Amino acid sequence: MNNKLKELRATMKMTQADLATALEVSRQTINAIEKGKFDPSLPLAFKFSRLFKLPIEEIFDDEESIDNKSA
Amino acid sequence: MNKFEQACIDKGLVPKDIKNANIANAWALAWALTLAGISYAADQSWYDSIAVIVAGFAIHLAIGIKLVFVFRKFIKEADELERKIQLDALAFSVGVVIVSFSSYSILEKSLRMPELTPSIMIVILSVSYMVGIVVGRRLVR
Repeated sequence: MNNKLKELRATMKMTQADLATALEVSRQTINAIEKGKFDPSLPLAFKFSRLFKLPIEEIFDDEESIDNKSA
Repeated sequence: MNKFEQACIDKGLVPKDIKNANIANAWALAWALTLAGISYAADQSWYDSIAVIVAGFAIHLAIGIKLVFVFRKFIKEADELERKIQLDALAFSVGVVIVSFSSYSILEKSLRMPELTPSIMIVILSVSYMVGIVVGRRLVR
């Protein structure tokens, strides 16, 4: 799953460690999500949404739904 | 906080996970030591009464039950990426044990190979679990 976490984190001038502390997860979790190697749980996705004040679908991009729309 | 815990935190792990993992490891060590100690005592015929045998069995069983709950707490409270790595590693280790034991049972019956003991199962489970964790961590790095 693609996401804009890295860009959003940069706009807020936060490090991965800062974001991890704010969301009570490990830095590895943030790193893995940013790289698209791990999909966050729904509660964690809501935490991102609240922190960045954006809807979940603006942070995370479900490639499958995009493929379905274009098909 | 000791140097090991600080090194884990510097690597990005959550302090609560480190604490829970250390508690689970301590109980796992206690479980393994009681298993080895009680089995060794039985081999040496040190038990002279049924009460001692029951006491040894009860201590090992109690530590085993505690270990199950401590490990469950560790998995339940773990950081979500860590939980995924641990559960994937558990699934892998259970699969390895089932496949290796079922395959070996064919050899055991057809070629009269030595019987597999529970201690071998524990070793295979532990090693494959550790391999699963290492591979899981590398995959999400």
